[in-house]
Amino acid sequence: MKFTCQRNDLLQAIQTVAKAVSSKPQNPILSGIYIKAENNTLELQATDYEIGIICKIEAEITEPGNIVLTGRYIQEVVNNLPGVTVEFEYDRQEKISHIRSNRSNFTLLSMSADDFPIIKKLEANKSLKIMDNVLQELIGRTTFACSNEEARPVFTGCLLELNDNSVVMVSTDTKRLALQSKVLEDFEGQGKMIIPSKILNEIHKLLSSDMPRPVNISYNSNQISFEFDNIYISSRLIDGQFPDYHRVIPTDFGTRIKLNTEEFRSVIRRTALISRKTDYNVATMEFANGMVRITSDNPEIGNSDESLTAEIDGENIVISFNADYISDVLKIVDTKEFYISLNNSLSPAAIRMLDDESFTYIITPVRTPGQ
Amino acid sequence: MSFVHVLDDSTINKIAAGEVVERPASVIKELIENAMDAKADRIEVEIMAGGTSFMRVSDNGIGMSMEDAKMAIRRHATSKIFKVEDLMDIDTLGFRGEALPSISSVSRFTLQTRQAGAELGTEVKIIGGREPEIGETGCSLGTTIRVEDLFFNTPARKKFMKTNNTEASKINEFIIKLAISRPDIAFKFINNNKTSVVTPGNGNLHDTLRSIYGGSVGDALLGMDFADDDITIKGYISKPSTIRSNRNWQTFIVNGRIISNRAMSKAVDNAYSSLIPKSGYPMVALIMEVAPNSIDVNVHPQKSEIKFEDEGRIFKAVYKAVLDAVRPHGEALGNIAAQVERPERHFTGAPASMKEAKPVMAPLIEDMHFVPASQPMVNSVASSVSHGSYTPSGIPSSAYQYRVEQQAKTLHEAQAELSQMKRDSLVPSEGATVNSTYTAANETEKTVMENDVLVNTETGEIIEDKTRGAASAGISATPMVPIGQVDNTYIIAQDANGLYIIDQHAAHERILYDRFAAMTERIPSQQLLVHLILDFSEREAQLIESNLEMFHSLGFGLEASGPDQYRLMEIPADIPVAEAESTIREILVSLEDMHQLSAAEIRHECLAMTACKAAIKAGFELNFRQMEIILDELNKTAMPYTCPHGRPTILKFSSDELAKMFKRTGF
Repeated sequence: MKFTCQRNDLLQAIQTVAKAVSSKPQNPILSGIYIKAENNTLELQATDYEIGIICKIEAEITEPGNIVLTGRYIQEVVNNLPGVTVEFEYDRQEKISHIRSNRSNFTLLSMSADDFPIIKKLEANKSLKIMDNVLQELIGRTTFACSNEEARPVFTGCLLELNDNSVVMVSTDTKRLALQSKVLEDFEGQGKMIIPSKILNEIHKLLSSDMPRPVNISYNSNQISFEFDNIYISSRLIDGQFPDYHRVIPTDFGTRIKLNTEEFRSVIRRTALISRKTDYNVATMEFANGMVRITSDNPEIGNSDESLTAEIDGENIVISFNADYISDVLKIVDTKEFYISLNNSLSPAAIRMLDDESFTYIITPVRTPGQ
Repeated sequence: MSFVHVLDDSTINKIAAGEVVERPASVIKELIENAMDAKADRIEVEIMAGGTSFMRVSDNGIGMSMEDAKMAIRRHATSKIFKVEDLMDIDTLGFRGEALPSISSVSRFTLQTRQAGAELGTEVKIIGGREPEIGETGCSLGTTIRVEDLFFNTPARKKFMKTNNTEASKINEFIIKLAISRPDIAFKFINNNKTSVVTPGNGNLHDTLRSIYGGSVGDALLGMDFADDDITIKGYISKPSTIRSNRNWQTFIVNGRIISNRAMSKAVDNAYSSLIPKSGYPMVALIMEVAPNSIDVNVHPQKSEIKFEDEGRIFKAVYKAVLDAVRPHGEALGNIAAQVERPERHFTGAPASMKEAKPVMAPLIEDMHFVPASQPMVNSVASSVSHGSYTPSGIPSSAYQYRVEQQAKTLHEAQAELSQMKRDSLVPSEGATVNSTYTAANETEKTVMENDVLVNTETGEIIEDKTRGAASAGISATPMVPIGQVDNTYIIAQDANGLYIIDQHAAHERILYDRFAAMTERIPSQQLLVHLILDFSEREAQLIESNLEMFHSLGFGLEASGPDQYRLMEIPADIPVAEAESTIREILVSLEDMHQLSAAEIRHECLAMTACKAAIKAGFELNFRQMEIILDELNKTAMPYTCPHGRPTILKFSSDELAKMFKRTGF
């Protein structure tokens, strides 16, 4: 096996598939990246049996073949090679791989490709096409609210709900909930699945191109695959019942407040200096008389107290939140102003963007002692 | 023809014996209790082969006349109650009148007794519950009962006895507890011709504990003192530096009766472990007095259990007593330091089996001779005398009290007066020695003072700080003054009483832990968007129901959502959702143990970890001011003995001990 390719292409492909290399491999072959050279195409694969990623790049192939190299070492080596091109050669006799670039020459031990669990493309009966900018928005506005506690796996993923031509992505860690809905053209169907947030985040990173392109999604009851450009990703789905999110979202609110996004973001950032992530992280907001007063009190550090003008429609209210949950959502609010809707100091609040009904964020308040 | 008939007396007694006499230890218990009720102040117990072949209990009590002795061996014959109302108001140990007939029906039984003033005593012999042989005999004042070949006529029962060693250790345990319950009685226990328990019988519980458990335990005792309208609690509990892996060292005495009661032992555990994690059981000798009509002792044939009218109140009282004892109130740091362990004694030639059977007793036999009495002055005299000589019986000394067993047994009558006389003569005859010790002690103090000054001049500017600190502290004794640091890890300090070594990391850890724990009082609770439905057992659901308020104050919002089902709506802001359920279950477990967890306890692990990370590490160099601050702050913590993980923070070498190490004890 022998080929020559662009170092950057190879590196990008390795970095893409490396996400699927198991960090705690059950057997050594799973720590490897499978490389197949054929028809002037190089195919890289990695899998940990939960996620599988395939990435194809162009290469000049002088001798076809396949091989498995330890993911970590090949990635580090290629990342640091000096030249623009990489020359790869596998010595069948000595069973080692030579990697050359400019005047540097590495030999890496390799494993037999026969042992590698080749990824089979998902043969699913259901599929849909979605534009990558739509998918990116769905993912980007929801995964941040996922839980990372493995104890209840349902909440470590996002619910993808297809209902006729609408698609809804929902995530929650039981303390807050993020929901983004979109309208799909040329799609009619029903479906419900929970996709691990880990894989969604990877896809989100890979989808950062300027040109809109379609993403092909196939799924069955326990697996899903995404295919775009030269990349194919498959993942298992999370098994379980996602709670009915409709019941969690209040239909009516007594008070609606319009706030300036940038101003409020910087106030929360400063408040967090006192509330502290590592402590209870409580920021108290007092909405009254066209002003919002945001305070935080940390017996170990001190107090913060800021005021901001706000358009208040409804009754005055005092409410406390975990400052993190507020700043998380402010990171994705991209309108100049946004709304906070409230009922009372012990019931959930909603955050929505100005003139954008597709996104809803529900956040539960914190009861401070004495309340 | 009728099938139903009345059983004969000997069969009745054998059946009853099954209830009262379960094993040799229960015989000993009944007999000693009788001796105590007979107002004895000296009780000697001897057993062979775990009590199966031979047991003897002798006392110097009031004894019985021949008529009484005849009556005593009959069933339900008792001198202790007269009518049924008396049952409600019992202050003697025995009262059912079952012990003697029961024991005599399953053994070869000999009773010798003589009252003061009578010339001859009475001897009663019964073999296996047959007709008693009664005659006159010469014997000492009081009563002696011999029980031989226990269960020789009830082979079934005999089969169920454990090994001789087990039976002997049961008896040993009983006698220790009895001895603790009556420090005013001198106990002596001889097992297979070896003396294994001796108590001074001078009425001082501290001395009694010291003679039973050894000197190092004696030094690690904290006094308990609690009293309210109906309950008084006195006794001792060991410092966390001396803990055991089981409850064998826990003795509870209620109205003079040794009992086991779940509420009381739980109260001790809870009070103790609220300050340090569950690492073991402390030694406890707890003596409680309650109104006799508020307890029912007649719930168990062996009277080893007791029913309280208001168990919750008893629990609270014990809890408070223990907590007050282990939480020093404004005491100087020196008083709570763990005593440095004494060098281990070697028992070359001692039979291994004995050491194994009674590790508690092994050091005691030697320790006995210089166990100091309660007062420090007498103490030094005692130890010096016993060190210097073998204390011939003519020379009166306080050490002699511990060796009364050397006296001839026929001297019972004279003994009381004699020992009284000895006590009286002690002070005048030893006056000179006492005085000299006194001056020696004064000198030591002076040297210490000089050292103080020395340190102060060395460290220059500290003097003023220190004197000001001392002045403001006022009541607390001389503050501990740092001398320096060893290995950049241990602070060496001293005060008037001796030398201290403090682990700087452990000490700082404790200081920080207490500070963090204090902050957990106000915890905001995060509401949940997706409620968690939790299923509980019926019992747990009841506990939750009755403690909803407490859960709420800890930050858990629970609401009943079905039979034995609760909806979790709020959790403390610092507990991950995944851990909320296990935390609730943890709280339930401790509620079952009648212990209400505090906010700090739930976070113990986390707090201990934070404290450990934030505390100064071993290997960190400290200056004198920093060391002083650590000592000062450590003194203010609720539980300065150990770090949150249970390691000791401070060790003490008392001036006495230092003197001993350098063989300066003769002065």
